Amino acid sequence: MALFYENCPVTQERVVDFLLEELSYEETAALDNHLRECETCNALVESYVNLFKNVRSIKAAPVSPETYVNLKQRVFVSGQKKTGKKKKEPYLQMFSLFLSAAAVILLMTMFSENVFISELPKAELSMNESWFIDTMMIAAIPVQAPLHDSLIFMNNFLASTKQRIISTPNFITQFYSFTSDILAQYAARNTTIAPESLDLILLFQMREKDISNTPESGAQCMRISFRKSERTV
Amino acid sequence: MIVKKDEELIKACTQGDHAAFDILFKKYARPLTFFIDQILHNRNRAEDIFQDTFIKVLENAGKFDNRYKFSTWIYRIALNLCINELRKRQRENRRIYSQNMDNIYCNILDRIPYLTTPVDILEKKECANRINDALSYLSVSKRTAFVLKFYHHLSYEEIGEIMNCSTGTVKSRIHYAVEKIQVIVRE
Repeated sequence: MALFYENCPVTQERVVDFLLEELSYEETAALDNHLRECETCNALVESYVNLFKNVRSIKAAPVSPETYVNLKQRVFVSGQKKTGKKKKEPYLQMFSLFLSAAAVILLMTMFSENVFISELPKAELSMNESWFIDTMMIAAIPVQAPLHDSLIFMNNFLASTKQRIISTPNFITQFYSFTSDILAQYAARNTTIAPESLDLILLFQMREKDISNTPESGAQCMRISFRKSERTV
Repeated sequence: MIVKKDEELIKACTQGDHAAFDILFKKYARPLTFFIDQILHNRNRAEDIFQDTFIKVLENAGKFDNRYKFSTWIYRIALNLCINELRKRQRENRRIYSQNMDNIYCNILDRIPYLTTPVDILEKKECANRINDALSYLSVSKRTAFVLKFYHHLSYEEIGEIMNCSTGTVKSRIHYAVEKIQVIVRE
C-alpha cells in the first residue's frame, strides 16, 4: 500500500473511502482510532470534508413544466412513439397550422357556452413549482373537447412559429391576443379546468413569455382573469 | 396507501395510468435530469434526453432483469443515451476536437483565477461553478462515476453495474476524479 504521509499508514484513497462510507466496519474502526492520534491525517480528512461539502452543495434544479407536459403527451397521446417527426415544407406547415388554429378558435367561440364544463375541484393556477407538483398528484380526468384539442393546436402552432418570430411579429402578437382573450372568457365564467388542459395552458403561457415581454400581453391578461375567477367561486 | 414498486408503476403507465406516470415522474425527473446534465453540461438537452430515457424505459419494460435494481437500470439507459449524444456531438465538432487536447486543457486551467484563500471561504455559487468546471475537465467515465457517487449516493457495486465495469475500476475512477477536482478547486 502506498504511503501518503511518511510514517503514516493512511492513503488518500482510504480517507476518501472512509468519508464515502465505503470501508468495512473493521477498516472504519481502525481509521477512526488512528485519527484520534494523528494530526496530519486529521488535516487531510478535514480538507476532504470541505471539498465534499462544496461538491454536495450543488443541488438539482427542478425540471421545467414543459418537460412534464411534453413527456406526458409522448407517453399517452403519441402512444410512446419515438421522436423524429417528418418535417413538412415550412411555409405549408405554417399555413396549415394557422388554418387549424383558426378553425378551432372559431369552434371554441361558437360553442363557448358548454364546451368545457367540468365538475373537477378547482386547481390553483400559478407558475410556481408547488403548483406543478400538486397538480401532478391529481388523478387523471378526461378532458373536455374541444378546449384541450385547441390548446394542443395552439402550442404546436407556437412551437412551429417560434423560430420565425422575427419575420412575423405582428401576426404572432395578434394570434396571442386573440387566443388569450378567448381563454380569458372561459376563466371569467368561473369554469374549472381539467389538469391536462391546465398543463397546456401553462405551456402556452411559457411560450408566450419566451416570445413577448410586453407587460400587457395576452397571456398575462389571461392569468389575471383566472385569478379573478378563483376569487369569485 | 399501498406503495407500488417501480416495475409495477411502469407497467401501469404503459396501460394508460396517469397517476403511475406522475409518481414515476416525481421520483425520477429531477435526479435523472441532474445526472444527465452533469454528463452533458447542457440543461436543455438534458431534459430532452430525460424524456427519451423515460420513453425507452417504457418501451423496454419487458426486458428488465429482476436481478438488478430498477433505479440502476434506468441510470444505465440514461448513460447510454448520454454516450450516444456525446458521440453525436463529437462527430459534429470533429474539427474542434481534433485540436491538441493537452493545449486546450492548459488553456482552460490558465483561465481559472488564482485563489489565495482556502475553499471554505469561497462564495457558494462561485465554488459550485468551479466544481462544475472541474467536472467538465474529467473524462466521461470518471465524471459519471463521480456524479453517481456524490450526487446519487450509489455504492461502488451499483455504479459498476451501471457502467458495466468492476468495483475496482469504479473506485480508481472516483479517486482520480476526487484528486483532480481537489487540485483544480485549490488552484
